[in-house]
Amino acid sequence: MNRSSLHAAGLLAAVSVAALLVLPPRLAAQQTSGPDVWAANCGSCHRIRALNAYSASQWNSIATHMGLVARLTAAETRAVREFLVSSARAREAAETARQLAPNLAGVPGTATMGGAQGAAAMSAQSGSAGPVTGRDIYRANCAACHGPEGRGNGPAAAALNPRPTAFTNAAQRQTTTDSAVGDVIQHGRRGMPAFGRTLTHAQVDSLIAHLKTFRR
Amino acid sequence: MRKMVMWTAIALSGIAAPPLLAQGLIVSGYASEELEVSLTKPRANTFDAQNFNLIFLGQLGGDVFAAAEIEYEHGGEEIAFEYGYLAFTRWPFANIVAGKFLVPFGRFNADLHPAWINRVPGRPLPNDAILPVGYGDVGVMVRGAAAAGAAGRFTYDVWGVNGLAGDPGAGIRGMRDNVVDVDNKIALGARLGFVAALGFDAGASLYNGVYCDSACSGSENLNLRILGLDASYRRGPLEVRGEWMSAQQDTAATGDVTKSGLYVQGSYAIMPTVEPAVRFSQVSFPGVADDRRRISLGLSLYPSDAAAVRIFYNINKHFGSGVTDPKDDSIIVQFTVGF
Repeated sequence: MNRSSLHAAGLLAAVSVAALLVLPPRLAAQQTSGPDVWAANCGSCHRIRALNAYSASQWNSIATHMGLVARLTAAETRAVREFLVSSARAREAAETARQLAPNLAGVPGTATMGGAQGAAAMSAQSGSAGPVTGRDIYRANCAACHGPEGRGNGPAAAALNPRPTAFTNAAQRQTTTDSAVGDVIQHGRRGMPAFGRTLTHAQVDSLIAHLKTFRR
Repeated sequence: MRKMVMWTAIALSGIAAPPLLAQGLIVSGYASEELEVSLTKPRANTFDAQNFNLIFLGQLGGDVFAAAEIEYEHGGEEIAFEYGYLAFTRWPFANIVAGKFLVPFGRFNADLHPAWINRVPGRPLPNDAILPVGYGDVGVMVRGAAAAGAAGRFTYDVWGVNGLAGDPGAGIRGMRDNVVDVDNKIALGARLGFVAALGFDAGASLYNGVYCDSACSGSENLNLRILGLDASYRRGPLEVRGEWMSAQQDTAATGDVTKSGLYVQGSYAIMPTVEPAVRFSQVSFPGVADDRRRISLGLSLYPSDAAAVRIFYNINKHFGSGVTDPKDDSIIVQFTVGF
């Protein structure tokens, strides 16, 4: 490695960096899915942390940290931040609703609304207009862990303990109700994120219907 | 005095932590304890409280992010700030990092060296003698990434730091901690990489700096140049990674010294809680007769996502002209947590 090759390498590095700095903005608008970015990058060095391990504001800090150290693009950092923070907010909202439920019992119009339903109602109002078919919703939010065919073998599965649920499981088919599945989707469970703030009621229903297709 | 300041800082952090946690401050870190059973005769066994390191991360206002790590290693033998930096993250293609940071030459030094992350106990041989882990340095870095369509992304890191510094021909490991630059020469480095969507990533790194100036050598500035290549592949439970690096070190009297080495490491999670792994690493010092090779073979057990028990057998080989191999194989049992 002589000095001329060293200078050439340095020049190449400088040109590359300069090119990156002046790249057209459309390259920053990369199409990414938060769960996919999370599954592909956050488990590439260490084991993936449960999504209920941190608060929304802490996930916000972690998203910046991971964007830096994993060298994510701006779009990837934004996508994984939205996924992690919105999931934590949904979980926090559900928890708040559960805590407030006893106090709301006497308030007109809320008598029949339990904590979970209250949270779901809150979350449905804030749900974003995303993919409309259950299949699209599944691909965007679930496939990273549960696998493209619902076998519990997505890219992130190897780093998760316990493993993600396999929707093809016959025993699970016998014992799980739509209501129970919907509750897990909206409020999360153990390491699984809560999607109550990102999916509307209609989207959750579409997703549940799509999950049943894995059982055939 | 140093310990008192450190413990005062930790105590104050504890007091300030609750309100700051609500603001998004993360207090995390990692710790590891190790039992090494040396199979040389006479047999020597030792526990090592390798580290109890606290990491503080926080998103501040104005696109500013702060990170710091306090290391408390080998039962208190080493207490220091491994890194402490501020990062400005407003621009999509360029993040500015200033302070003391882990130099991102290759992947192991900056990303993989904590015991709870690294799937094999201990550092690979080239990361002991050529690009010494953990190498944190004071300076400025620009890093970022740009999408390459559906194929993945290009990444870059460019840094200017005080650099490694030491006596002519000295071991590189002892050249760290040049906190106030003794040679008044900024060292430069860069890593260019590509992360493929299919689980493959690769990079090339370069470091160049004066490690001993004319006042130090008594004659001319002595340079240290290190070139490195790294690659990894990860798909489901399988991970394979490796790095190669070569250092060319000027010496005043005997000409250049070249030091080179590599490691290759593979792991496969046969179930979520059990992951066998193997690592081969080697360093060569032509003319010095201190070549070494190590094969580490064992498995990790994961009682939780944050903890690992690693049981490994190290086969060590020393070779080169006139070298007698001391037959110093060892067994490592390590307990490590990331919290």
